[in-house]
Amino acid sequence: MRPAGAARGRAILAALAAAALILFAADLALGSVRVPLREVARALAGLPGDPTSASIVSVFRLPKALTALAAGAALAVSGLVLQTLFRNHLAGPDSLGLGAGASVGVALVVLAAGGPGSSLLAGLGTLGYGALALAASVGALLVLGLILALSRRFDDAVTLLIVGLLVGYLAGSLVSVLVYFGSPQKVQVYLGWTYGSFSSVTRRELPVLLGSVALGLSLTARSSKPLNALLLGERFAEGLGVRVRGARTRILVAAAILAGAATAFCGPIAFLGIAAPQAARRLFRSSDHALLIPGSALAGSIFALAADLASQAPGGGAVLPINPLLALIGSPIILGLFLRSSRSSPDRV
Amino acid sequence: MRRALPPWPALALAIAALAPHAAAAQARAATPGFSIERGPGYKILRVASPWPGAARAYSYVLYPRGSPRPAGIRADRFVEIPVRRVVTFSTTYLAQIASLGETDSVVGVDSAAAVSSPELRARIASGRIAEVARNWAPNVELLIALKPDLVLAYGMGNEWDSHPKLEEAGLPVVIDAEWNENEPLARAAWLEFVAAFYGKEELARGRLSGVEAEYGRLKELAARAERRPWVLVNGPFQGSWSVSGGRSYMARAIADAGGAYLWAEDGSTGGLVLSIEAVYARALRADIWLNPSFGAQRAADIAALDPRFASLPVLAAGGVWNNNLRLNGEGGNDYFESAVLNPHEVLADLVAIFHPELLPGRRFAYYRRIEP
Repeated sequence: MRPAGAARGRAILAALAAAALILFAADLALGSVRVPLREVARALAGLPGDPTSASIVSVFRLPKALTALAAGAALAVSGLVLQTLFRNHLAGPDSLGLGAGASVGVALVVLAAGGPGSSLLAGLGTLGYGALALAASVGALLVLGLILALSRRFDDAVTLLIVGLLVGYLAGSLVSVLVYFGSPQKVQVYLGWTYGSFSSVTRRELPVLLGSVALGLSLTARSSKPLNALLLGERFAEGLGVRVRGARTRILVAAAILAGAATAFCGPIAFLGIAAPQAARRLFRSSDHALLIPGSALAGSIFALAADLASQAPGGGAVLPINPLLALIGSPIILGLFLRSSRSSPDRV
Repeated sequence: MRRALPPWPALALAIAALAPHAAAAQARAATPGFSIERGPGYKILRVASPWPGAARAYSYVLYPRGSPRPAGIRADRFVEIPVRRVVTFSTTYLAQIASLGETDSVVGVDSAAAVSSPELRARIASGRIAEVARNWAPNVELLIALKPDLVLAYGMGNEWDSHPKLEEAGLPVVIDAEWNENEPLARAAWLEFVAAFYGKEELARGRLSGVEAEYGRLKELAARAERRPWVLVNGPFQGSWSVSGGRSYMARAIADAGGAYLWAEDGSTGGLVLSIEAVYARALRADIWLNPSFGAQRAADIAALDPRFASLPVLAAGGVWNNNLRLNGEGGNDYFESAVLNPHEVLADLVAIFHPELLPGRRFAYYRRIEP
């Protein structure tokens, strides 16, 4: 990469990081309940202050903002590596059925276990949260493995997406059948989960979510070179000395952990996985994964935090569901990026 | 359980977020949203507002069995009465039918697990009453085979409604909109609507006047209380919390029982979907917390809902009460079956919760205390 390009990439990364930081701070400072900035700062610093403000900030807002940050990054990076791996811009945890696979895992855990509560994970405990994240990740991984095995038999991009769609339907139907035989209360809990939410994650669940996302991100970060090589095709990558098999397994596991953990705790969130990596590609106008991985992660966090802020738009404490807001905010931005980049330079993967 | 489920999250979100109907519903006050008009040899039942924001009313002509169908009247349906084979899509209708002494007419229910009455459960077990739906999906073929002469159903005006499919199948569906009332006594008054199909309006009115008198007595009693406790309702659900609107049925019941509802200033009749931090800020003030979740019976169940609300002062003070004293072991709750019929019993429970000194030694009908 040319030095000028590298400098530009670093500048964009810094700008994205600053934007994510500002939105993160705004998500802590703004909410349905008015909390003075001073109280927000005191609560975060652990200084004594108004106890109501302190618990609102540390018990509700901080876990919610961290969840949005982590889940946004996880889904975006999962989408990025899937797009590279399948060499298809429409690939993503949602379009390839990973979300549906994760849902099967979640449905199995929720309908088989769980207490009488309205919380999804009622009575599961920390071990249970881990089990849920694991079940969702395994579900996503199984779907991914199946699609990968099938994709070897078909070479073109459209067939891959159709296969992803079919596998997604398969997993989705499995969930429907499982749910059909559940008790009405459990069914309602499961349906509530499908709306998607960042604010149901509590401080006890947070370590499992953050840990899974950190694991997935670090596995991916170690793979930026093989990912760059894979863009040129597997044979070419082997020619460059990349051990394709090992790298691909690692990337697949990472993508499944990222999509699985985010889905387990926040529900199926459709938009981020495809959109955030697209936004990153258009911004960086590069195919270097050393830039695209952090860039996509930041773009995903930005979209997620912005949607969480916007969910309080009705005022008076009322909240809107996250899923539609993500698309509402994200789509125009990405369309704008597409229009701009198509005018400047025709852009390849 | 049927009753418990209409305020699904989906419905609650749709109603609370968009809420275009709030003002319209407010005008209905204590008179129920149906009327009975009598003509020569028939009567017309009119349902003014079948669901919130409905664009049309429904009318049903009831005429005596064996006599010719009244001519020259337009109606959504003509029903020969008294009805003999009835299918219900809500457990509340079952309690009403039983109180009219017409349990023999019930041939089908939407959910067997939701039924609480031991008599009806025995009939379901013996196969005399069929279960005609599963997870809100009606079994239309079974329904047709049952040859009902009345299918009592409700509408919500959304895609979850089963009545359009049933009507399409030629089943004699009648929309009962009792759930759409915002006052306990107006809900109870729908007993007369059901009674009309058996020609037993007289019996229904007699029962209702007793209920109204007792309700009025309790309301006056509660008005004498010196202090009105702050009341929180419902529980967290996946990161948000749907509370009853300030003009809702629940808000009215709380006010009548001498409680101060935390969202009393709100002007809506449906539910408000709020962020959990917004609820938390007010919940800290609560003296009483009603109906935290369908199943909660112990303090551990509250912690399981969302551990963040287990530290509320109201829980430690023993102020949490749930309306699930009478569960049938399969998730069915008698509150959602017979409470509509007995608003005075619900009110007495609430008065005893808010002001124990006014009704000492009350044996609760629907509410249980969740011990801290």
